[in-house]
Amino acid sequence: MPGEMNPRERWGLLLIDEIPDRPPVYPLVTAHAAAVYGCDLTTYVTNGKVMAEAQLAAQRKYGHEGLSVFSEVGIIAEAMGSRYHYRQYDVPILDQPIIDNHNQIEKLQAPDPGSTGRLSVYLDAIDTMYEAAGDILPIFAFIPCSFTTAAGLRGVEEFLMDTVLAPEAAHAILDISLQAAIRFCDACVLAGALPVLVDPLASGSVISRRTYQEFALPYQVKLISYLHRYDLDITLHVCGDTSKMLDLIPQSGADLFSLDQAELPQAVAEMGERVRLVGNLSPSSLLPSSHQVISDCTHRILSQGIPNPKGFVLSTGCEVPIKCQPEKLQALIQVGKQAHYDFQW
Amino acid sequence: MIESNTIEDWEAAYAEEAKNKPKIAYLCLRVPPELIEAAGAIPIRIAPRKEFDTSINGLIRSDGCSFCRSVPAILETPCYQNVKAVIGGNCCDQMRRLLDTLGESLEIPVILYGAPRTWNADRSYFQVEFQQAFKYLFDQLDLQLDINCLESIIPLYNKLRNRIAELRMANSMSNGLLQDLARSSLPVIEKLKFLEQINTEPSGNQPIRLLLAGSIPGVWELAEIEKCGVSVVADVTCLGDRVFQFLVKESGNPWENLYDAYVEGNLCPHRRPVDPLIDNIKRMIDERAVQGVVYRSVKYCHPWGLLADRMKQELNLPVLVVDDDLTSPAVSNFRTRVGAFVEMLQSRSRRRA
Amino acid sequence: MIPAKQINYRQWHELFKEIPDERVKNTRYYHHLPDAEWSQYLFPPSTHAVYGNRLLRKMKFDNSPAALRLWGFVLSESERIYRARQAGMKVVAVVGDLGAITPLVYSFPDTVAFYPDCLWWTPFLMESRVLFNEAGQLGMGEDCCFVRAALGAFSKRAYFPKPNLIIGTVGATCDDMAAVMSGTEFIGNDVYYLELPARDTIPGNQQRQLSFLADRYREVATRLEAVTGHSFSEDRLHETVGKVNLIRSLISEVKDLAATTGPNPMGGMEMMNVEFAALSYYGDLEECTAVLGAFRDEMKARVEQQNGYPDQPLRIVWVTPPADPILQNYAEDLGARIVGSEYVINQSTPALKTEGDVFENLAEGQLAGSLMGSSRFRVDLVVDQVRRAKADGVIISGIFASTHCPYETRPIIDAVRKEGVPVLAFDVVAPGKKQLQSQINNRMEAFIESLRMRRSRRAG
Repeated sequence: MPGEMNPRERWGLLLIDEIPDRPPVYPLVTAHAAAVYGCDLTTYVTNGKVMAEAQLAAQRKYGHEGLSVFSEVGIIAEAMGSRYHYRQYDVPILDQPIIDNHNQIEKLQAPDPGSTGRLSVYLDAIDTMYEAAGDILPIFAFIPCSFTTAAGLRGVEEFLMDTVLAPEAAHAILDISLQAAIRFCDACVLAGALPVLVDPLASGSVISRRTYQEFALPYQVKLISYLHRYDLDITLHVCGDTSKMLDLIPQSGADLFSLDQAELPQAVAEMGERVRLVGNLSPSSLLPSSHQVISDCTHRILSQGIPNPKGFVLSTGCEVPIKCQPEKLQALIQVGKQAHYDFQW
Repeated sequence: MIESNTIEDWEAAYAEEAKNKPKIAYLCLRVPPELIEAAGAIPIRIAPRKEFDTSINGLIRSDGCSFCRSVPAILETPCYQNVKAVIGGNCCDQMRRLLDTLGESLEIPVILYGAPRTWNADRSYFQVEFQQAFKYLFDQLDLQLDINCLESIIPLYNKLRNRIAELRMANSMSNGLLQDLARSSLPVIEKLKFLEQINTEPSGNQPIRLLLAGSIPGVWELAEIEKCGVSVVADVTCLGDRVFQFLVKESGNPWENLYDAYVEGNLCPHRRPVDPLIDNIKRMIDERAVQGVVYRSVKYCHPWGLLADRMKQELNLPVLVVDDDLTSPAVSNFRTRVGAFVEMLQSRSRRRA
Repeated sequence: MIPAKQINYRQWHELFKEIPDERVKNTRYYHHLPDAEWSQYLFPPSTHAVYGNRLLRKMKFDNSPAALRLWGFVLSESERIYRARQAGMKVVAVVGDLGAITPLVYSFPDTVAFYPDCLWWTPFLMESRVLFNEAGQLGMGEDCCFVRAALGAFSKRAYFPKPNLIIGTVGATCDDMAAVMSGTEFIGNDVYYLELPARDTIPGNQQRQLSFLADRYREVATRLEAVTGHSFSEDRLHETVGKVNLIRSLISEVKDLAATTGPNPMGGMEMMNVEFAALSYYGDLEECTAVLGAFRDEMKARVEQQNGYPDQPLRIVWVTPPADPILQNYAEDLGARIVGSEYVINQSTPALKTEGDVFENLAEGQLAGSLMGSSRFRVDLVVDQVRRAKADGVIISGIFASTHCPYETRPIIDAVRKEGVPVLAFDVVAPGKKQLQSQINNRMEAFIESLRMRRSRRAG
């Protein structure tokens, strides 16, 4: 229809503090795309072309407004030597971390994204999507922040213990994880994607506010500041409950915050003048809820998010479940696309 | 008095007398033929002629307006022999460039004068431009404008226009004849005589009444439309009713009056904004009970071609948009599309009945 | 001094790390808004590629920080215009006159101008048909030149803010632009039409044309007063003309430097960006002057030190701006360099007079326009460039279905050939038409090879 903005245009306006016709509708369709495309998860996370085709197929089906390049949060840790277990019907999980003892830390190196582990899967996927639809759809590469990668290198429990018992070692792991993340971000940017930084292990559901401040936030700041030097608009996604650390999020420098289990009005109040918000229909509600419930929730979220002074993106709080029924996701998207700002051109 | 219903016969009969007069070819609705006649020359509109050889091209690239591209070939046809000069107002951009191109290639004076593309532009500037251009033209050809003659010719042209308008409203003049008159180089007095002797009984009404819009027509489109059993009751192409739809004030300064009528009042689609042209078309649609519009533009004619979509939305009637290349006419294609359009209108009309 | 080189976007991404942080932080536009968080613009092409300018991944760029600054400035224009509005400035869209009226616009306080026409290269830069498709839905398809992208952008409302005033120039300008304006009106925008008289009409009317156009500019000034809420000030216009003349003189200087007999000191696309700065100064007159000043200094130093790109010996004059920027890169890859140009914007480069009636001076500048008179005028401009730059060849990158190319191309070819200089003429093809694009590449290869052989024959 003449006059209708495309996703690239809509996001473009949002990111320069302009009001688009409506908020972008961008549920986090990641591994669910494999279900739409009809491929197993192992193939999806190991073959960039398949990942791209699956993402494009899902986007054609749902019409959501961004492509997501994501396998799992261990992608960098694996490239640095940790072993992951691949599963046909779910994303890989950590099998064997690379760091058994702290002596191994100094041997770690930031991996070459073009030739190490599955990092090139991302790059192939981004490249394919960018060629296919990069003029219309923004491409987001989900890149784990240092805290999450460090947990993948050391093992979650061990790393959390390190933060208490061996903080220097923890920082050393975080430093090399940061270098790896920077290198990977560079590669993704050059392939055509905008980094979305994910730090699920830095969630309030896992760590304390103090641990976040000491071990996660500084590395988020460094990574974001590196990317800001290139004028890239960075989304920070933290899974789980972040309600107790919302006031700290803007300190990371993130331009957008993708929130999961926190109240949107609270986020608007805490950071709405500085940060664009992305959220936050509960992914778990996409499984059991009726269309009506999804529709009602989406309306509620829109009514809370649209007034955010710095802008808003309608999304899910976290990844759309792999087995989500398409109709339910469509319900969310449909409501989202009917929203509008009082756009006066 | 010649007893014939065709302009061609009248022109042939007049040819001998015309031999002694210089011909001045002109482009297009911004040029008053009154002035040329009053200077003792024959005004001849540059328009597609039956004989023109579509293969003569080369001065202008193939993505130029196909009428402009045809003009060198049109000027090769017999009726333009003995043309001593070409004159035109700054009409659309391609017409301006065409005159420039002709000026480089022809060995006769080719004169372009500025004319407004907006409404309410500085009248004094353009009027002087207009007047100086014709004076320059006449100087170049050693012609004298006879003001008395001009003053007597203007009412005759008005009479001609009045008569044509009357006949058109009464459905007593075919569209083909209308276009022939627009193309014709006959002096106004001859045209009036011609109109006096032709049959002016209202023609039997065809069930479907069309308006023809768009760029300057070739020599075959109208016949193809009429073959489908419709009446073209209104014609806003560059050879249609618009040529005769206005009057020139008869008192006062004739230069000013001609300028006002031909230049200021000009309703061509290159004027901005374009609303007055659209309003005029809407008025004609109402007055003449038009049921459908054949909107035919020539390839790469931007003023008409790029207005088609807007017309479709504005006119609130079925509109067939078809474009054609005067240098390689797609007659069958045109016939098929018009045929289908007319059928659609007929079935619509039957349903309504 | 760093050896001059053309590098790709990956290399710039790496090289960018070496640029000091302070320089990145302090390279800003709108200096009157020092606290603005958004006004930095020194970023590498990879940044703009991520946001959809896909062609940047295939292009080559000069490796100097001055050229990077220029690219950053050019590519941030759209955001800058939005920021201008956010900062309370007035935004004036000027369509169709190609650079003549902007000094007047900028003479009003807190007012910036931009050319929607310039969006014609967005589809190429994004390798996208979005804007063309949008224009197509509004009735402007391939039988209109690439400037139809501007209509698409007006319809989309996502490429520039709603202008406070749209000045549409008609008369002796392209009908494509007039059609864009009409389309723009139809979708709900008010257009203030400005009448541009045809130049080469009857002999002896130059003074009248000048007065006529000066009067039109007076009317525009009145309209701008109403829109901006500021009175027109002759002093301010004088001051603005002084700044504009500085930009124009920088452009002339840079063009002369590009024609040096030493190695090629700069890329063709950078040069084109410089020339087009004369249209609306990319939305910030002051910063534009600084950008061009730094660029000139870099080129001057390079010329003095014979620091240029190796392996580009063949001297080309480029006629008509290529909407597709990759074409000039391609010619350079084949061993050509752009030593002269005629980009249909002649009216925006000669210095404006500073004595006498301010409006007449503006009008005089406009009346030197490339497109508003006889083709002969433009033919002479091209021939002049060919002679001055001692060109080995001329490339005409035509615009299909424009209203000037069908009439001018032949006379330009004839005149250049008369000078004994070979010419290649082709039409730029829309994004996505790969087969046609490869035909152009083949023709360019053959042409440049023939120039090379011709040169060797002459040397031998």
